[in-house]
Amino acid sequence: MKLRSRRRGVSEVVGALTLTFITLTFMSIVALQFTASSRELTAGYMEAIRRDRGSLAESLTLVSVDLSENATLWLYNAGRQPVEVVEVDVNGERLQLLPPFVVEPGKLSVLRLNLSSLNLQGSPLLIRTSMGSVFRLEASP
Amino acid sequence: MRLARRAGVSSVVGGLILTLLFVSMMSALLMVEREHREYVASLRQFQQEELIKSREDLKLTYRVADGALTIEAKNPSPVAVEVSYVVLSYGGRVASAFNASCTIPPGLNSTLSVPSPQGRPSSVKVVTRRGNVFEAAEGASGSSSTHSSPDGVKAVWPEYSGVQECAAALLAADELFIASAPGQLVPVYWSYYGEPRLAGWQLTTAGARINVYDWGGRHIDRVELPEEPTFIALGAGCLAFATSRYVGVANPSTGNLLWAKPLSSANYLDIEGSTETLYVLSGGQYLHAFDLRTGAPLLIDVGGCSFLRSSGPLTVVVRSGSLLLYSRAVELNHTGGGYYSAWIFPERGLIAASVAGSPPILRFFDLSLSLLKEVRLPTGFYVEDLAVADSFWAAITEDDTRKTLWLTIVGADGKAVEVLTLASSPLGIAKHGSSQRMLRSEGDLIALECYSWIGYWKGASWTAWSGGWVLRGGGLAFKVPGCFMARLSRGRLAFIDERAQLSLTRIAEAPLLDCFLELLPQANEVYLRAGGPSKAVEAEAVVRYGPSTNVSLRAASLPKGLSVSLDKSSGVPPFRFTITIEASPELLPREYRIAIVAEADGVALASLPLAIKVYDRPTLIVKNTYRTVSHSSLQAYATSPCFTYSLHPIFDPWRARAYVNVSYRHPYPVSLGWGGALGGVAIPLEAPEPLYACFLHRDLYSGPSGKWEKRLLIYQGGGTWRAAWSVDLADDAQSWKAERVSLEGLLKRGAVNYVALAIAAVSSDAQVGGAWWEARSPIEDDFQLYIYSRDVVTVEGLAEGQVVQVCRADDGSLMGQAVAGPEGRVVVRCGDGQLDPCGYCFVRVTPVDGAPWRSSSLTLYGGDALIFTG
Repeated sequence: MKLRSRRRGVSEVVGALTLTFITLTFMSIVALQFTASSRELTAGYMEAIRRDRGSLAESLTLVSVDLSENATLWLYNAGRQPVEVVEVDVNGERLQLLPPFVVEPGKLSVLRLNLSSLNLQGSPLLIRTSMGSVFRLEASP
Repeated sequence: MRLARRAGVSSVVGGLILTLLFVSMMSALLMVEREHREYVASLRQFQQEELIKSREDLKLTYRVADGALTIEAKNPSPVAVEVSYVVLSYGGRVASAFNASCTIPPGLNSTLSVPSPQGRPSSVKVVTRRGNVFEAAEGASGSSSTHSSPDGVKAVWPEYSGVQECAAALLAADELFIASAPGQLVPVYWSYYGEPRLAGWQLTTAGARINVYDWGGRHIDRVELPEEPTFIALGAGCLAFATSRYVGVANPSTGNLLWAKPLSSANYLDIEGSTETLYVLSGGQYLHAFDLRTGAPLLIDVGGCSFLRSSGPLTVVVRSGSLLLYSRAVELNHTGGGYYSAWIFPERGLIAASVAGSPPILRFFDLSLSLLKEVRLPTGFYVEDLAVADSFWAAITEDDTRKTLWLTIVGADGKAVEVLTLASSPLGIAKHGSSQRMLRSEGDLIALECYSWIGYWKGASWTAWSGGWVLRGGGLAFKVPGCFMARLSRGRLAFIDERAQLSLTRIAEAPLLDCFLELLPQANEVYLRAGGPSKAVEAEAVVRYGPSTNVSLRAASLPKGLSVSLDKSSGVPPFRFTITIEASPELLPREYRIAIVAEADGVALASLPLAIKVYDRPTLIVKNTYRTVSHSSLQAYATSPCFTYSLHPIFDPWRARAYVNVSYRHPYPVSLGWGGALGGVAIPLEAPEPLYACFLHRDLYSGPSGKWEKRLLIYQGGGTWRAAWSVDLADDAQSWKAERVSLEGLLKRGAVNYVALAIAAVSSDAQVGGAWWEARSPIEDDFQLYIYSRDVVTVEGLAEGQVVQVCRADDGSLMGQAVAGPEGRVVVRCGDGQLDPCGYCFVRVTPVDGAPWRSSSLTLYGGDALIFTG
């Protein structure tokens, strides 16, 4: 009787502790996974919203174009934040700007492009910024 | 007891974990909500700034004296303008930009002074802090501006398609007034990684004001509202409006607001003119009625109402399928029967109501709701709007199954006179967007406006199509191109067109408008050099409907320095005429828009808008006629499903698709036939001969010949395909091999052609292994099938006797040349393979101002159309 009751008591405690440990571990893993994935999703969504907000604050105006040699664009930033021009698209020809060309808010800046003037004459310019905005500007002197 | 303790521990732990999860989720939600709130605030701020920017205007003149440039600036706009920079150009080159911090209050003048050491500049521009650019004109008078405020709405009479820069988004009219809310027509671009393409137009209201005109086009007053309007209506000498939060009434003669009450989400409003009652349908299908003059509520919150129309002293309302007749907010009569829309014509003693059943029914009642007549409609047809004229009536019906919008015109005898298709969309007309279809009748005239918009990102919308029609005597009198909204009164038509312009025209008193005239130009754009030779554009006047009558032509909207002459100033259509345009040396280089107006007895019947692009030096404009079939436009096309195609690399959606693989997959023995990748391509009408296609191809097939073939097939219509190119798969193209294929005679110009890259099984005992081939572009690291005119370019805008030479840019060697004849257009044929599909070249024109002129070096494609400014 003694032996039997002792064995039964030990097995109940160990069993209960083991079950509790397994439950805690498993649920913690699930909880951590869930919070991690939800944080990742939330961060992605919030990043998208922030980029949209950033692109709304961007504003770019083409003041003048000089086509005498290589194309020179006079760009004015009427927005509230610096605009980083990363790409200029003329007639399907894409010019990547590395490093990006930065136009400070309220400033007029000169962007020189290694482009044939004839390609630019009378063509719409697409200017892409690092925030994802696309400005469609008409190139006229 | 032990069990109870364990249960307690486990529930505490579980509770803690759940609390942790809950707190984590709530904090994430709160963060998202905060970010979203900030985003909405940014969006509002952006819209506010854009609105203020669009209101800015400056009238500028400049003088140069003693090395200093003085700019007289006048601010006629209602907002203060902050000047940031003054930019001076000399000979087309920007020489100086001066930071000029200066604020010009609304309605006031200011003077800016900057040094100008190089003398008289060719251009003086002023940049405002909000990003508008205004150009100054020289001298004390004759100011010019490159920008115009959308607030400057002006009705034009009688040129219904004259050139003007004004904008309107909402329109209402009665016998006395026309009211329009200013707006903007904004192009919406759709980008599917690559070049953004114009998807449509977004018509938005801009500003909390309404401009009021009389039917002569005279501006009477401006009504300031608490918010931007969403609906407006005119009646009983009052202007009723709804905004997102208010409903109210203003006096259109004085601009004074009579009353405004908070009432959100108004869906429709109408005025019962004889009883001076305003009815409003709001969100949740509630009907409200107010006294028009005082705003005293007459009827509040009658639920279940879905349709409302008022006229004279009566109003019909559809409420939960029943038809109710009101006057001064008192229910006079009602009848049941599953109605969903109704219209009332008190002057004709008629009520029309439609029943949504199978089949749908249109019922006509007298004013006591006694049934007069019943018209059964085809199953699936729903009546969207209806109007009754003296000798006919018309209804807009939507065919839900075929996604088509019809205009049915029915004579007084009840027989259909004409059925016109207004729009047809595979996407659906009602399901995937909303549409406006409005009929307005007067006498024997019915005006129809019809446009559809589709929801777009951030609540904006774009217009898929738009159109306006005027019906008379049971037939089509004339079409108003690109009409968004139209209102009819006293035989006159007010409408907002595709340029967001409010215009007026006369109908009833001008029988000549029975004649629907069109002016068809050879080209809509003219390229000129200031001080250079004149350019001629040929055009034709043709009558589309109605009898021909003598019309006179004149040029309108001409800027100073641009002269236009017509070789024929009047005639009875159809006739041809030539427009000759010349720019003086003083004309500033930019784009001008003019119009040629055709009139009969002082009434404008049609106008021809022309874009005049002026340059300050000889310039060559390049227009491509080559076209490509790109990987994004491909789709599978085969005689059996075992023929297919794939794009490679296939796993990275952002990378260019390097090549297309056309293959046969399963089963064995092979089924005879062909298939692969099909693409559509529109070949321009002006693409010169000979048309070619070029591509690279390869395969690793090592089996016997006579089993498989590679093919380039062109669809000829009627289920017929013709092989432009066909080679055995057992060829020597183990690595990329260039191919040039003549497509002349196979492609139709001015139409969409279908081209297929295919593999064909020509023997039933062919082995399946290696039955594929690949194709790619000869130029880019991408699949592009180039279709171009080989070794040929056209040059226009030349003077007789001028010689055009196309030369290689690297060594200057001559590729081809031609001498211009009296028509000023030449075709330059280059040596074999020189423009196949492209070459790096320059163009020399001799003589220009007595000397040879040379363009800078550029890439020319075979078939390019070069336009010389002279």
